[in-house]
Amino acid sequence: MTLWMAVIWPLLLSIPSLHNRLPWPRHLAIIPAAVLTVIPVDASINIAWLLYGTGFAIDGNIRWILGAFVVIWFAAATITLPSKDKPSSSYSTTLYLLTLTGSVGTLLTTDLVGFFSFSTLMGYSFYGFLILNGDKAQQRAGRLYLYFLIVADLALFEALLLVAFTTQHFQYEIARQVMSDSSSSPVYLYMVLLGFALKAGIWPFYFWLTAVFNSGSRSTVLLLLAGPMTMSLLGLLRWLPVREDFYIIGIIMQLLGVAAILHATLRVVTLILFNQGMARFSTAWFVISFTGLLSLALGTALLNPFLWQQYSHIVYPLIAAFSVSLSILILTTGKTHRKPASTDRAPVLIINISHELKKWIQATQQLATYLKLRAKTLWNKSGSFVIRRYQHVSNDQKIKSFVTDWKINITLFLILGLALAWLAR
Amino acid sequence: MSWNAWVPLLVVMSSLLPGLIIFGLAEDKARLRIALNLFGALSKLVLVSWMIWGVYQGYHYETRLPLLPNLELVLRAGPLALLFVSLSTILWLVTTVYAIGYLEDSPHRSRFFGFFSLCVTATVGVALAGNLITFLLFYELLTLATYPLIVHRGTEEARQAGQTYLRYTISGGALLLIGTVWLYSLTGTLEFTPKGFLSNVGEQHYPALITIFALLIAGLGVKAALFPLHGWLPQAMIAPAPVSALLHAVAVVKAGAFGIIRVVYDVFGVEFSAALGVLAPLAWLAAFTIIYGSLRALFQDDLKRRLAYSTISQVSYIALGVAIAGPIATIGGVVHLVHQGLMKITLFFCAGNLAETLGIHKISEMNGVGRRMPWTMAAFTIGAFGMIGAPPIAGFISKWYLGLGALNTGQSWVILVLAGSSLLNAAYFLPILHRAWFMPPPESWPHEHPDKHKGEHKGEHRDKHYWGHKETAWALLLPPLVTAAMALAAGLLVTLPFSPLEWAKLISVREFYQP
Repeated sequence: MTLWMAVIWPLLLSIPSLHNRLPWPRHLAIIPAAVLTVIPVDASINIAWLLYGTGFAIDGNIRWILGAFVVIWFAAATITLPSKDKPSSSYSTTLYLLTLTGSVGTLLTTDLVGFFSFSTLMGYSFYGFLILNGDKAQQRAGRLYLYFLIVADLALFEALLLVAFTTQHFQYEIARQVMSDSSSSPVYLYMVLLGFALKAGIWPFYFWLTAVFNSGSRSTVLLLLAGPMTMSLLGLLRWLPVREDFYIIGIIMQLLGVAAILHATLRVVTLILFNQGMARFSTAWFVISFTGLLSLALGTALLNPFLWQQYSHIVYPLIAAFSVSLSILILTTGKTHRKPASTDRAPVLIINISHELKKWIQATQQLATYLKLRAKTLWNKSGSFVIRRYQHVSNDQKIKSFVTDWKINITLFLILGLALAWLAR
Repeated sequence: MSWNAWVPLLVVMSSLLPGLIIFGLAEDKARLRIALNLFGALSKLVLVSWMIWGVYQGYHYETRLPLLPNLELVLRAGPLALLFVSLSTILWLVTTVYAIGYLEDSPHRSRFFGFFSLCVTATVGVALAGNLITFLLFYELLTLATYPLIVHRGTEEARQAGQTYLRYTISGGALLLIGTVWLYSLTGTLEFTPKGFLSNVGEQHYPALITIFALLIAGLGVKAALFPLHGWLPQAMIAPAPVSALLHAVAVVKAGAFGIIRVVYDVFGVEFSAALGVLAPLAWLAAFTIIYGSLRALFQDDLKRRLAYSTISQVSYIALGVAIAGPIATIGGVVHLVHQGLMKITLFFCAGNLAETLGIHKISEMNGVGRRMPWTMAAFTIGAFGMIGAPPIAGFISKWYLGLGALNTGQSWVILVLAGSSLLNAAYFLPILHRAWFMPPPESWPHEHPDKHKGEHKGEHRDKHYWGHKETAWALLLPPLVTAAMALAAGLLVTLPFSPLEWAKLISVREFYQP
C-alpha cells in the first residue's frame, strides 16, 4: 500500500483544487516516500493490468537513493514556500508535484516501460517547472533541456522497440540479460547510451545542465538533482546491457569519462583562480565530473563484465551520497547568480540548430508558397480556358437546344445504362 | 427475419429515425430535439453493447435485404465492424452533448442535428457493411449527409469549402464505383470475406486487379485524406467545431481509413495484396503523407487548420499499418483507428471551447489561455502528448505496435518515418502548450462570450466567469474531459479485456492465423 501511495499521493496532490486546500502540499507529498525509506522491509507489487504489466518494488539499493531524495525534496520544498495568493504558485506546485511523481515512479518501477513512462512525466513536468515565470536565461535553459529530452526519449523509445522485438519481458534483469545476448544488442546499446547521456547531461552533452544550474533557482536545481539527472543515471545502470563484445564502446566511454573529469577540473580551477565565485555554476561542474566518473566506471564494466557483476551495487549508495553532498553545497552557496561568461554558452552548434531549423522552416514555407502560387496560376489559366470553352458552348444556342432536348437526354441515359449493364454482366 | 437479423438494422435506424423526425421540428422545440438526439445516441449505445455481448457469446448478427439481382444490402457484425461501430457510437454520444452546448442559441439547429444524425447513420452503415456495395451506398450517403454540416454557417467561405469537399468526395466516390463495378464484373461477388475473395482469380486478371486496387484506394483515399487527395480537409475546418470533431475523429476520415482496411483485408486479402505488389506503394504513399501532413501543420497559425493537417498525417498511420502487412503492424494500424479518434476529438473539442468561449481561433492568440481555461487546456495537453506518442497515453501504444510491426517485417525504414513524425508532432504541438501555460495572458481575449467587461462589470475580478466558477458551459467542458480520460485509459489499461488493443489483436489473429 505504501508503495502505491508513494506514487499516487503526489499525483493526487498535484491537482490544484486539492493542494490549494492543504497546508504545505510539497512536504505532504513526500510522506509515503519517507515512510518507505524508514521501514527497512523490501517489498514489491505487481500490477498486471497497468501498461504492459508493471510493478513497484523497493530493496536496499533503491532505499539508499530514495532516502537521499526525501532529504533533497524536503529541502527544496522548504526553501521555496509558495504563496497561495498567486495563481502561478499553484501551477508551480502542480509541476513540482508532477515531477516528484515521475521521480518516485521512475525509482520504484520494476520494468522498462514503466520507467520510460514515469521518466517522460518527470522530464516534461520539470521543463514546465523550470520555465514557469522564468527569465530569459531560464527560458533558454528550458529550451535546451527540451531539445535534449525529446531526442533522448526518441532514442530510448527505439531501444524499447528493440527489447519488445526480442523478448516479451520488460523487467530490468531479464531485459538486460536478453539484450546482452541478442544480435541487436549493439544498436540497443547505442540507443541506451545516447538516450541517457542526453538525459543526464553526461559529457559532452552537458550544455543544458550548466544552463539550468546557472539560471535556475535553488529549488529547481535541487529538483533536477533529485529527479531527472539522477534518475537518468539510474536508468543507465538498469538498461545497460553488459557483455564482452562491447570492448570498443567500453574504451570510448572510459575516454569520455576521463575527458569529462579533466574538463570539469579545469573549469573549476579556472573559476577559483580567477575569483569568479563559488556560485552554483561551479557545482554543475562537480556534477559533470561525477557523471564522468560514472562513465569511466561503466566503460570499465563493458570491458570487464565480471567486475560489474561484483561491484555494481556500490553505485547506488555512491549516487545517493553524491546527491546529498551536492545538495548541501547548493544550499550553502549564495543566492546571486554568476553572470554567464562568453565561454559558458553552449557551442554555437547547439544554438544554431534551433536557429537553422527556423530558417529551414521559413525557407520551406516560402518555397511551398511559391509553388502553390505557380500551381494556382497554372490552374487558373487552364481553368479559365475550360470556362471560356464552356461559356462558348453554353452560349451557343444550337448546342444549348441540343443538350436540353429531352429526347437527346433520354437517349444518352439509355446508352449509359446499357454500357453499365454490359460492364456488369 | 430473426431477432439477430434485426439488430444491425436497428443500430442503423436508431440514428436515422430520430434524425428524420428532427428535420421536421420547429426551431423552438429545443427540449424535444435534445431528447431525440440523446435518445438516439443512448439507444444506439445499448444496441451496440448488446451486439458486442452477443458476438462474445458466439451469436451471429447479420441483416440481408435484397438490393439488386444477385446483390444484397448486407449488414454484419464482425470484430472489425464492432470496433468501428463502437467508436462511432461512443463518440457520437459525446459529440451530441457537445453540439447541444456549442450550438445553443444558433440558428438552423433542427437542420444541423438532422444531418448530424444522418451522418452517424451513414458511418454506422459503413462500419457494419457486409459487402462492398453496401459499403459504397453508405459511403456516398456519408458524403451527402456531411455537406450540409460543412456549409452550415452559410457564409461564402463555408460554401466554397463545401464545394471543394463535394468535388473531392464525389470524384472519389466515382472512382470507388468504377472499381466496385469492375471488380464485380470479374468476380461476381462483393462479399467481405476474411483473407479476401480474389485468390482464385486467374493470373491473366492481375493487371486489372492492380488497377482496381488503385481505383478503390484512390476513392477511399479522398476521405482518408491521403496525399494528394487531402485538399478538402483543411478547408472544411470552416465548419462548426462539433462538425470538425465528427469529420476528423468519428465519421469521414475514419470511414476512408476503415475502407482501406476492408479492401486490403476482406476484399484482396493481405497475402494476395502483397503478392500483387500493391502494398509497398501504399506504404510509401502513407509514409509520405505522414511527413507531409506534419510539415504543413508546422506552418499553420489557425488552430483548427493545424489540427486538420495533423489529422492528415495521423490517419495515414492506419494506412501504413495496413500496408506493412504483418500481424503486429495490423494491430498498430487498427488500434490507431480508435486511439486517433479519441485524441483528435479531444483536441477539436478544446479548439471549439476556445473559439466559443474566448473567440480564439489562432495559436498566436492563445497566450496564457491555460490560466483562463485550465481544464480545457489540461484535456488539450493530454491529447497533444498522446499525438506526440508520449507514454502512457494511447498514441504511444499505436506507435509501439507500428514500430514493432516494422521490425517484424524487416521494414526498418518505417521506424525512421515514425521517429521523424514524432519529432514534427512535438514541433507543432509543444509550442501551443508552451503558449497556453507559460506565456502571460493578454489584457482581453479576442471575443469573450459574453462580453462582460463592458459597462456593468467594471471592477470585477477577471476570473469571475459568466458560467459561475466554471470556465465554460458544462456541455462544452465535459466532453473533452471524458475523451481525454478515455485516451489516457486506453493507454494505461491497455491489457484489459475489451480494450481497443485486445480487440485489435483479435482482428489480427483472425486475419493472419485463422484458416
